Amino acid sequence: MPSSSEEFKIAIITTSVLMFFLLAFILFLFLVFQMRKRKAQATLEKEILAAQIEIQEQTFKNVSQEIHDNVGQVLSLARLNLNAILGIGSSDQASLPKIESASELIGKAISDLRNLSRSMLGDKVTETGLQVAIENELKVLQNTGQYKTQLDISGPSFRLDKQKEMMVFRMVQEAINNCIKYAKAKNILIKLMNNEEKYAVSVHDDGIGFDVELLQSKETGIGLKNMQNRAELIQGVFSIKSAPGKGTTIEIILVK
Amino acid sequence: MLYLTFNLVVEFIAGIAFYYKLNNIVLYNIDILIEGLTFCYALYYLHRSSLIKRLLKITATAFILFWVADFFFIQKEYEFNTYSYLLSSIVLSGFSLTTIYIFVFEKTFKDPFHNFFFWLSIGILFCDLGNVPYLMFYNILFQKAILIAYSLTIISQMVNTILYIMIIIGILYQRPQSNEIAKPNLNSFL
Repeated sequence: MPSSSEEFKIAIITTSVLMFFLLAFILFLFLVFQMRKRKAQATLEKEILAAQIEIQEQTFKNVSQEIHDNVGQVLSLARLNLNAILGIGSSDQASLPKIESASELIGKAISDLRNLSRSMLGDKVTETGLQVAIENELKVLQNTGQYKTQLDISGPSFRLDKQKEMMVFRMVQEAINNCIKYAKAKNILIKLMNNEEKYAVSVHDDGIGFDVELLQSKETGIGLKNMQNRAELIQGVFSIKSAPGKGTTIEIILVK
Repeated sequence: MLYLTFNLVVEFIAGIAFYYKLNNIVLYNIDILIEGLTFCYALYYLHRSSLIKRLLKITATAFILFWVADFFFIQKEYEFNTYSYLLSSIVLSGFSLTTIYIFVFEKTFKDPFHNFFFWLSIGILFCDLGNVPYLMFYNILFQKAILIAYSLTIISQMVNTILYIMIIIGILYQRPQSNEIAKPNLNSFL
């Protein structure tokens, strides 16, 4: 039989080794579980985002159709009636300029609604392609007279699959909206690039710029974070470069 | 508390038998059967997979038959039934490892670290794996290498202690889980 000191040593060593293995095993399980939980959370967030985007597109489509079928038609009829009054002539000469002005305003409303409907209708983007859709957006912006816009195309023109084109177009729309709302820019430049390695779309403005680190704040940068998430959904890379007084450049890259 | 009470009673009676220089091995041999079947039942209760449930049923039946053969014919009642204990240790190690895998890698359980059966599975795994070398070399080592035999005895005692520690941790840390498929009625089980 071993002596009592040997017994004690064996007991201590055995206990220590066993407890070490037990703790290491439990820690390992804990870390693995946490990692899987984080992955599952990320997947769930992506699925929720994809569902939200689908709902948004469907809503845009419904609203676009309503504008076209109902609102647009009503305004067109109203304009027709006004033009009919102008055609008939009226004894009240003072009201004629007002009727003409009303007709012009309704005409402008019809035109704006048509542009809005086209912009909202995602199917139009996939029909005409990304380049044409962006051109149309820039044309609308140019027509306001407040912005100078330019579209640069480098490399052969390209088509992506429907989902990617839609997603990129919405990101470009978001970027343009941000320019209008926040940037106080005068010039907006959009570049489409197609080379051997990648497709790239960038939106650059000469506005006031901002501190990109503010994106970390929860209360700001949510729109830009959504753009980041959309880019990840289509396996794209989203980047933003800006500094106060130096304008902003947003770039979306899709690797081939 | 039934299982813990049973173990307490067994140890108490075995202690008294040892004090009066009576052979307490029969009691421990019966305890081997009860412990093996209890843990089989616990895992059977926990799992929802029909395959695992079927395997547990087959294992428990085979174990009972083997134990009867070992107790009455092979090692017999007055020798410590290491063969039965070894069989139950190996099989329960496998099932407890499977259970731990399901807890950590499958989506079945939301929060394993607050689930009693998770801690029980860890306890069973350590206890049974730790007992395997002791049981495999029990007879040989006590004749030929007393120091190693003694080390394995210490390991065996420690891993049994770990089993009870894990049971206590499981009782202390468990929470009602909203998506826990098996809601154990802990008091009736123990």
